[in-house]
Amino acid sequence: MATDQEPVLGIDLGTTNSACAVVRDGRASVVRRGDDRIIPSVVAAMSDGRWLVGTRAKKRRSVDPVNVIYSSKRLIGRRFGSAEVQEMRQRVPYRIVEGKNEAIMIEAGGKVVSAVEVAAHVLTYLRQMAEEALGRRVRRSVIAVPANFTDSQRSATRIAARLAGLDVIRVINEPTAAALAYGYIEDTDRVIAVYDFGGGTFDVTILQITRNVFEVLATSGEMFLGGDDIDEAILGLMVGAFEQQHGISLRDNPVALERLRAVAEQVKIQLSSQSGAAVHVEEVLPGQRSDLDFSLREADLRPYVDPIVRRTIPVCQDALRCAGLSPHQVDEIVLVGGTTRLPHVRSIVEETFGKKPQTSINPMSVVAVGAAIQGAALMGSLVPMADGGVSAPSAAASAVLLDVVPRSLGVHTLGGYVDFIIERNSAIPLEQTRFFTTTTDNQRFVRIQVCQGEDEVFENNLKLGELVLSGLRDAPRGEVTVAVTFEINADGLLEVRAMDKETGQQQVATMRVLGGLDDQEIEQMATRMASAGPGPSSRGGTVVSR
Amino acid sequence: MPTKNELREHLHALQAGLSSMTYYEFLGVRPSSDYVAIRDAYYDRAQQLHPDRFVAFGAGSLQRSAYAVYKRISEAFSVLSDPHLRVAYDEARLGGAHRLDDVARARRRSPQERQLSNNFARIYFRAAVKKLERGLLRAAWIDVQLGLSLEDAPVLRELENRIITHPEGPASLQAEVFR
Ligand SMILES: Nc1ncnc2c1ncn2[C@@H]1O[C@H](COP(=O)(O)OP(=O)(O)O)[C@@H](O)[C@H]1O
Ligand SMILES: [Mg+2]
Repeated sequence: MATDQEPVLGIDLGTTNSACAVVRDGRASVVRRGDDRIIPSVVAAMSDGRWLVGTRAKKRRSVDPVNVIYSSKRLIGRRFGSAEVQEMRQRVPYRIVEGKNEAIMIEAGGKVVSAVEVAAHVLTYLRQMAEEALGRRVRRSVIAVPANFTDSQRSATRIAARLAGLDVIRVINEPTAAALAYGYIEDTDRVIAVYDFGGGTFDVTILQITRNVFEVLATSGEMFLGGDDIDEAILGLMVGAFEQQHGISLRDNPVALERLRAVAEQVKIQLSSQSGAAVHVEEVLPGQRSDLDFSLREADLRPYVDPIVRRTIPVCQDALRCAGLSPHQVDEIVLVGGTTRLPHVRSIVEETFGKKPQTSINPMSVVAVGAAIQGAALMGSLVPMADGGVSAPSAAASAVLLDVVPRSLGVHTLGGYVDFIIERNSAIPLEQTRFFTTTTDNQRFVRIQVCQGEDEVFENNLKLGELVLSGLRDAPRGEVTVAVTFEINADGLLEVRAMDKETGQQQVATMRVLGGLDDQEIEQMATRMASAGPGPSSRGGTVVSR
Repeated sequence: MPTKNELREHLHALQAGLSSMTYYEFLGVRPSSDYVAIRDAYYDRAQQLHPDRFVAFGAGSLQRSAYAVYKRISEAFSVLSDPHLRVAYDEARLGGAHRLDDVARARRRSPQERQLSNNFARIYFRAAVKKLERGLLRAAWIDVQLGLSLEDAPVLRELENRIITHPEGPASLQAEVFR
């Protein structure tokens, strides 16, 4: 494989943390800056107009919570009115507001930015970190997204990458990336369960590998279940201990709570490898004699952790049921996400599937590694030969990932129902055309609303967008035919076109994505990003200014 | 192992055949081939001609050809791997068609079928419903069991129940089935 080729950055843009990796000389390695390999997906707006990204931004949570944007992956590519976004508005201290076209905007540091821009800041940070580590420009990337990401979420992620100066050669599913990192691409067919327990979300995906072809059989998850819940439990114990030591309640002191929450996370992390942890926190209430001494044994934490972890069991069972499999038919279990470091999580996984999970790759970087491997496979898929020709390497060296459509796609029809055009689980890329006729006399235009989901009733699905084809010729109803084509490319991105074949000239309309950004907005964001100034290398740290 | 030129030729031959080659020719199988042969041919084609194989060349005409060809490969597989669509296609082919038209390909699923995620469980479900309509209780019951072995879904359970409680000879069905 050509070694002087520009490396492809494999990116895991996580809800809580992000990481990136590259393949060099046939070996995948996680990109690091100093000792940091895992970058908090946190962006903080400073009063002087600068943005902080990563660990330093995360530290601002206990100082200036309203201007620190975290968990923004939960917002990207969604519509403002969606239940998830409304739930987030209740949970986070920063302000989420509605933008144009139902887009999600965030107010921080006296500015209004879109969720896409926040992701772009994190991605820029990762790109610059990689460029610094590799000593060369990095342009190309493979970016991982959750298997259940919708079309809108995938396109929004792509836009963020573009804003960050990255050319995305492939969007890959996170569980598929994790399986690739473990190299399950030989000729044997297997079923793999990917158990991903992160900071705030839990996902389980059942993958089938048949002759180097990866298929997502089922994916299931809990939107709000993760390591954060364990931190919260430990925080509760700490607040109790503080009350005992000082007779003061911290319940209404968000700044102190945020500070202790960070300590609680450290305690949890220590308890994943030790049987006990003790901490001393100075001046919980600044300027007062209010030090906290707190110690916790792993055995005493278990009763709190257990019910949280057990909530993942029915989710696993649901995924298995959808895949039509019983636990013993799963050949391998791959662990992803920091929370799977807890020994108790591993024993629950073993209990659920009846076998030990794979743990040899760090669960916090396994997705980035898999994405990097896929990037290398894509770029190195044709190898130069001595005679100047090019040959394909052995199949095992580069598997082809055949993805399927995770949810059906359809259009709104009379009476509020859905006419499905692409059925879920169809292999991509694919194209499907359907013909519609006018329903009234002299109908001048048709409005085609597109949704994603399995419900017969349009409103119960996720509405993706709509397109309007106008300028139809005057004719009695039923006489004008419009062809609507759905095309899904290899990244799983949808393009919808409507065409009127009757008017000699072919007229084409393309879908406007709800919650999406128009070209002008993307342009504006690009300008803002471009003026964000020199990267971290020349600023000696984690600052992106604008 | 194909060289770049061989790959390119193969690709161009298929591209030239987009307007005339049958799905069978496209996958390199015979009209008499069974499902397993068709699936294997599809995976082989995917290994060789998936657009990902051409990414390294950049977004040129080769990649566009690969994309157009590959879309037809997946269309061919989706039709030939579905018994009902394959029958419809074979009929259309007698009339001179090389492709199954869009309307026929987008055969709608019933709301019940929609609740099944396993493609084969869905095929068994559909077959069982047909057989039940024709009063073939035992054959329907077998299809339901095959479906259930792939996906333990409520719609299949309901159908099983309808067969077992069918007024016409549930006793004989039970006797035969559980003997
Ligand atoms: N050694 C550890 N033991 C227990 N939990 C850990 C450990 N390391 C990280 N975590 C937790 O993992 C979570 C983050 O996991 P990560 O995979 O980065 O999440 P995400 O995919 O949501 O970005 C946090 O809750 C963090 O506290
Ligand atoms: Mg993750």
